[in-house]
Amino acid sequence: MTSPHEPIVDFVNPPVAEVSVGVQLEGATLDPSRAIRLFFPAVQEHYPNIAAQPPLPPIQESFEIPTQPMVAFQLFGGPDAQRWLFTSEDDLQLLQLQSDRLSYTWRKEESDASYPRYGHVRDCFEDAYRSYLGVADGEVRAPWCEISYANPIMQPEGEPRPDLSTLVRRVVPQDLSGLPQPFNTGLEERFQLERDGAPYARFFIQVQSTVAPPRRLGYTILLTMRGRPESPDLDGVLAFVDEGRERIVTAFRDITTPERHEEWGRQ
Amino acid sequence: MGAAVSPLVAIVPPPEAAPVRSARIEAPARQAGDRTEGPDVYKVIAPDASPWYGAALNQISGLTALAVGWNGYDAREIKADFAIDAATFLTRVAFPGIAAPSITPLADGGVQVEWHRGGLDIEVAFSDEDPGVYIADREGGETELPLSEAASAIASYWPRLQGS
Repeated sequence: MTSPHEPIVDFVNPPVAEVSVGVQLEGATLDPSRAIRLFFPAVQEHYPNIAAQPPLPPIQESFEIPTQPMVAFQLFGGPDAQRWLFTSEDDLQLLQLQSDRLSYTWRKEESDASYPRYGHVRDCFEDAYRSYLGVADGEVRAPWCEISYANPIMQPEGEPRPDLSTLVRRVVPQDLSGLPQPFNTGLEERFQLERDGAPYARFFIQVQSTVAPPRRLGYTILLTMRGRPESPDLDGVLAFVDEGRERIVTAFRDITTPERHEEWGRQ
Repeated sequence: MGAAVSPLVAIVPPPEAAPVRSARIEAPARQAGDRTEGPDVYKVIAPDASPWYGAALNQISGLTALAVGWNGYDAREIKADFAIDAATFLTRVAFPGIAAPSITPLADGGVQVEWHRGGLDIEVAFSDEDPGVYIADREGGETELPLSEAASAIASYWPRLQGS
C-alpha cells in the first residue's frame, strides 16, 4: 500500500472540497458532558469554536440483505443526544463528537484553500483520536470506520451542466430522439468488499447534479468506504482509512475522463 | 391518565411523566418515487428520556431485521407497525428513573415490552393475536388491560419499576 504521505494520483488543482474520516465508538466512550470537560480542552488549541447539533445515525453496514431492519429510529434530545462540533479558527477543519462517533473533516467550503493532501488529514484525525483515547476512562473500540471524499465539479456561472459522460467514464453518451440534454443526471453504485471470504466493507460511488452559489451548475462525485477495520484499535482504524483512501483515489482516477484530468493538472 | 390498575397501588405520577416532555415520533419524509434500500428512519424527539431509551429503540429496530422463521419454526417477520407502536409507547413511559424493560419479538409478528421487578410482571404486547397489557402483581393478583391504558398503567406502577 502507498504511504499515507505519498501521492497515488496527484493533480495540481484537485477538485476535492471535503475529506472526512470517522469512527463508530463503543466501550468507555465519552458522554456529551465529559466530551466538553475532558476532550475539548485537549483539542481546544486547534479547534477553539464550539457548536451543538443533533446526533448522526451510527456508522454501520448490514451485509445480509434479508437482515436489514425495516424500521430505524434516530433519537433527538435524550441524554446522549448531542453532537459537538469543534471547528478551527479558519473553519476549514472540523471535529464532530457524539457519544458513539468521532470524525475529522477538512472542508474547503467557499474559500480558495488548497487541499492539504491526505497525509495531513490522516495526521489530524490520528491526533484527535489519540486525544480522545487519552481522556477516555477505559478501553474504547472502533467497530466501524468511514472515509469519504466529496469532489464538486462546477461549470462557470451561466454555463449549462455538461453531459455526465464528459466527466464520468462509466456513463456512455447517447442522443435521445425527442428529448433535449438532461437537466439532472445521477449515478449510484455500491460495491461489497470481502476479507477472507467474508464481507467487511462497502464502497460507494455517488454522482449527483449540484448547484453552487451564486448560480453555478455541475456535479459532485462522492466516494465513500465504510466498514469494519481488521482490529478495532487505533492501528486497525488507520489501516482501514489508508486502504479506503487508496481505493477512493484510484477509483476517482479510473471513473473520471482523461480530459478532466488534464484540466485538473495531472502530474 | 386512567385509573389505577390495582387497588393496592397508589397513583404516584413520576416527575416529568406522561409523556416524556415534548416527546414525539415523526414518520420519515417520503416523496413519490423515493425508494431506498435502507430502513425507514423515524425521528424521535424525546428530551429527558431515560438513559436506556436510545438502546431500546435500537433493539426494536433490530427486531425488524428478523427473517421469517426466526424462532426456528414458523414465526413471522416483525411488523413495522408494531415496532413503531412499541417505540411510541416507550416514548411515553421512558420516565427518568424507570428501569429498562426487556423487549422481545412475538411469533405472530408483534413486539412485547416487559418489566419483571418490584414483585411485578408486566407484559405489554403489540400484536395481531393477543394485544394488550398483562400485569401479575404478587401483592394484588392479575390484571389485563387494553393497550390504550398501557402508559397510564406503567405510570401507576412507577414507584415499583424504578431502576437501581
